[in-house]
Amino acid sequence: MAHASGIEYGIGILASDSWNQPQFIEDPQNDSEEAYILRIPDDCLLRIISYLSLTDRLHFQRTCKRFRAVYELHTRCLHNAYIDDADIDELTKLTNLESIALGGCHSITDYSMMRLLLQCPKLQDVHLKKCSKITDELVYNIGLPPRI
Amino acid sequence: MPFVKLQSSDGEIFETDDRAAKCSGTIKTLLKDCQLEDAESQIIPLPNVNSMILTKILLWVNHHKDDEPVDDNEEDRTYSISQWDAEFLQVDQGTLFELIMAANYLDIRGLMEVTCKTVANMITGRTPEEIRRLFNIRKDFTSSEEELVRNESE
Repeated sequence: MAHASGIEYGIGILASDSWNQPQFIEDPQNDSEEAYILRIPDDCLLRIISYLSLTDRLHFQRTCKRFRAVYELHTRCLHNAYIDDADIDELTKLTNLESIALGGCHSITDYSMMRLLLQCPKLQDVHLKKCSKITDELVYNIGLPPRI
Repeated sequence: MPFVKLQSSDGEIFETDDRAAKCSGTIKTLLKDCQLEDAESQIIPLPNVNSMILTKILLWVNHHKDDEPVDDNEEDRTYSISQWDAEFLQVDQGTLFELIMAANYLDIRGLMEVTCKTVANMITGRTPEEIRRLFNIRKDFTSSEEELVRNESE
């Protein structure tokens, strides 16, 4: 490898044997002494998000890049939530939403559903079982395939 | 009463009764699959858990070993944490997140639940700036990225 000064440096890499693996788990602790929370795996962060309200989730994702990435992972699907028309406003902020299951949400109307579909371009998978206010007209209007 | 021996990452050996040890899905599966049920002399190494955390975990599983198993679908969605757990989790952040990682690794559902709820409660009601300060997180957004994220979420 040529250095700027023209001196060549040879770099040798020696594989460590399987008994004496470098302590790679310890190392990040030193340079990120600050944030203990960033050491935990995504699974655990996802779990924490699941206990937060929507407002708190939005605050969470504005904290740092890692949290934002985890939040995006989380918002890909929203299942088994009880949602009414008023919540749809909030949901339109979830532009990453790919899948939503609204089984038994009787107060959702065609109008809100339409708004949600327009605001969340990635939404592909919608389950509307037992949503009494959703009419065939909506399904007809948006011309969606029968997976809905 | 049958007991199990566990070895922490720093080599300390802990003895615990097997009912408590089986709160951990990982240990339970290990005992079953390796048919170690009767082999009381066997030591189970836990290279991801140090003795300080393992002591805490054993304290927790011993307190909760008689709890009803939680049904997957009926998981408690409330924010409530029992008095005992709340006191148990009055620890510094380093310990709290180590506990989360250990509970995740050992697959201790109940402990996972209370620790994550505790963190969620810490986040609740705080602004992004306050969350950063609370957990000592460095803001790694550039100002234009921050603007974008803010606009998206408001």
